[in-house]
Amino acid sequence: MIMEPSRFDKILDYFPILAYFFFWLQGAAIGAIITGDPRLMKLGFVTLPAIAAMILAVFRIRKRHREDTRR
Amino acid sequence: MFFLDLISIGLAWLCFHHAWRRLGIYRAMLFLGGSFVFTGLEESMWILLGRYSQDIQLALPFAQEAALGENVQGVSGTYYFTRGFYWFIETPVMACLGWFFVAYSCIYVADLLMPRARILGKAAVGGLLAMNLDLWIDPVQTHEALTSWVWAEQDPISIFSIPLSNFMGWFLLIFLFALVFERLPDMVRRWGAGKAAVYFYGILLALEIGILLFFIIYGSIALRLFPEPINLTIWGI
Repeated sequence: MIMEPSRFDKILDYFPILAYFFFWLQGAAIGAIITGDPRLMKLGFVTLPAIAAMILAVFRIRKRHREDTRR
Repeated sequence: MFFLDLISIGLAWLCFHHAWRRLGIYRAMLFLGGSFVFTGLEESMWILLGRYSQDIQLALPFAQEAALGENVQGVSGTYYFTRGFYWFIETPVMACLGWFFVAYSCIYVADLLMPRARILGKAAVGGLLAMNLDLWIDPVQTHEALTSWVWAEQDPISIFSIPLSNFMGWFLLIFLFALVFERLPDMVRRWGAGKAAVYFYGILLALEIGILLFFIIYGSIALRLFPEPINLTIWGI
């Protein structure tokens, strides 16, 4: 019998992405706002590939959880 | 300052807890210890090499000035951190913990995006994700309003006024660490947990020295190829 993952187990899968996102937010986004330099705020666009990868990873995790629930 | 360390500890805890539950305590501890020591030592050695560059250049005539940094705006060396609560040699503990959770999350995401890919591909994507993040973090954190660290290195090629070698370093550290960590289960099967841990740290230490030599050689070659500094930039950053 396959046990369905607990609620915490499901949330746990997002922890590394959450850490990356908070670092992006604290180290780059909030930092850029503090500098007040509009060029640095616009520079955030260069991290779009990383943000897209993180969002895609979130969808992959959700899909996997849905498949686990169906089984 | 301590508050910033607390944020890093909190983010590292998220990744460590995930690693503990998914990989087991042994591999989680080695990921944390390995990435912390690997990157902390690498950064500290690079900072110290820059600080004592003149002495080193006298001893090693092949090490060109640009490879180890020269005086830029009154600052001598490669780079240095300006603040931190706890320190690991020359690197703030929050930077070492930052390396841990960035490495862990990037390798984890690379594995999610490419579940069937070989480890070389996953490690490369992990390294690129980390480097991509630093393309924004470094120009922001070195801005005069924050000055979390100061660059003194005269790399002939810069991206957004940050030495190219920095971005190469981000990629290389995470790429190589991912490759070594992937071999850990094989090492445990072959030598047992204790000996495997010693080999794991030994390989990382050898790679540290290899990376440093690579950057010294890169600096010497780049200076000859590009006598005029190049700054690849958007909006003049």
